[in-house]
Amino acid sequence: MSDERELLRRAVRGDRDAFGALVRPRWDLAWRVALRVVGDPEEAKDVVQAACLDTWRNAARIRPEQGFEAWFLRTVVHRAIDALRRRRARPEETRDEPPEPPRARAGTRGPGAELEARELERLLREATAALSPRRRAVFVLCRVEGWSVERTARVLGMSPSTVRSHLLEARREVSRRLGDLWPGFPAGPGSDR
Amino acid sequence: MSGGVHPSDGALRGIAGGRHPTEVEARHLLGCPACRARLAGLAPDAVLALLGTLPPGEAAPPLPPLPAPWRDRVVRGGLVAAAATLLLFLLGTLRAPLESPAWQQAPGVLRATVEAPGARVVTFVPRDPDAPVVTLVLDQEFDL
Repeated sequence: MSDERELLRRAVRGDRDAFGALVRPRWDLAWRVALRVVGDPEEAKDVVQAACLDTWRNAARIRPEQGFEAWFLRTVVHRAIDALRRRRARPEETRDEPPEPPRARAGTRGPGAELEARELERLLREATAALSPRRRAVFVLCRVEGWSVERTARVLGMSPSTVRSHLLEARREVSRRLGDLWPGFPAGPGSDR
Repeated sequence: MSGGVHPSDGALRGIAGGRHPTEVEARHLLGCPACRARLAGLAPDAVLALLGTLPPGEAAPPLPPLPAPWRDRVVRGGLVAAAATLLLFLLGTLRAPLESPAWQQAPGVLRATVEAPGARVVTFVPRDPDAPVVTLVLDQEFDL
C-alpha cells in the first residue's frame, strides 16, 4: 500500500513509469471488464485507453486512501457505460450482434464438446443485450467477474441495495433470455441435446 | 472430456446462488455438459459465471502512450499565455496604454472581432501599408 502511495505520488508529479507500474497489474482486469460490459472489442479498446488517459490526467485527484484501483476501475466502468449508451442512442447502428439461429449454432458442436470462452462471450452479449447499461455493468461485475456487491457499489457509485436490486432483475432477465437463445437450455451449448 | 470429480449438489447450489466458481469447478463445468445442465437447471444465468474464470477471447490492447504531463496544462493555458505575450508585444509596439488617447497615435489600428465561441480574433493593421498585418487568436476570457 505504501508502495502504491509512493507510485501515485510520483505519477502525480508526471512520472510515467510510476503510472505504468500502477496501471499494468490492473490492465487485464480493466480490459476484461470493459470488453464484457461493452461487448465489442473495438469499443472496449477505446474505453480502456481513454480511461487510462483520464486517470493519468486526473491522477492528482485520486485520494491515496481511496486507492488507485478503485479510481481506475470506476473510470473504466463509467466510460464503458457511456459507450454503451452512446451506441444505443445511434438508431442506425446495430446495437448488438443478432443471435444466430440457436439450432444451427448448437448443431455445429459435437457431443461433449467443451464450452469455449468465445461461445460464452457471445451468450453473455446476447443475453444481456436488452439490459440497461448500468444493469448490464452490475451483472458483469457481480455475476461474471465475481465482485462483491459492496465492491460493485463502490465502483459504480451506487448503494449496495441498488446493486442488489439491479442484480436480481438482471439475473431474472438473463435467465429468461438464455432460455430463448438456447431452446435446449439448461443443457446449453456444447451439450448433446 | 471433463476433468475432476463432478461437483456436489451443494457446490452447484452455491454457484447458482451467486458464489463465484473456483477455477477447478469452472474447468469441470465447462467440459461437462451434464454438470452444466445441472447448474443451469438451478440458475440459468450461473453458466455465465464460468466466463469470469476464463481469459477474454480478445487480447488486451497496449497501454496508450501517455502525453507529457505539462502538455495538457500548456494546451489549457496556452491561449491565455499567448494572449499575455501578445499584449506585452502590443504594449511594447504601441508604447502607450491601450486606454489612453495616445492609442490614436499608435502606428496602427487594433481591430478585435469575435469569430468563434471561446475565442477572439484580433487583427492589428499598421498605418504603414508596407508593414505586415498581424492576426492572432485569443482566448475569449482574455480581456483587452
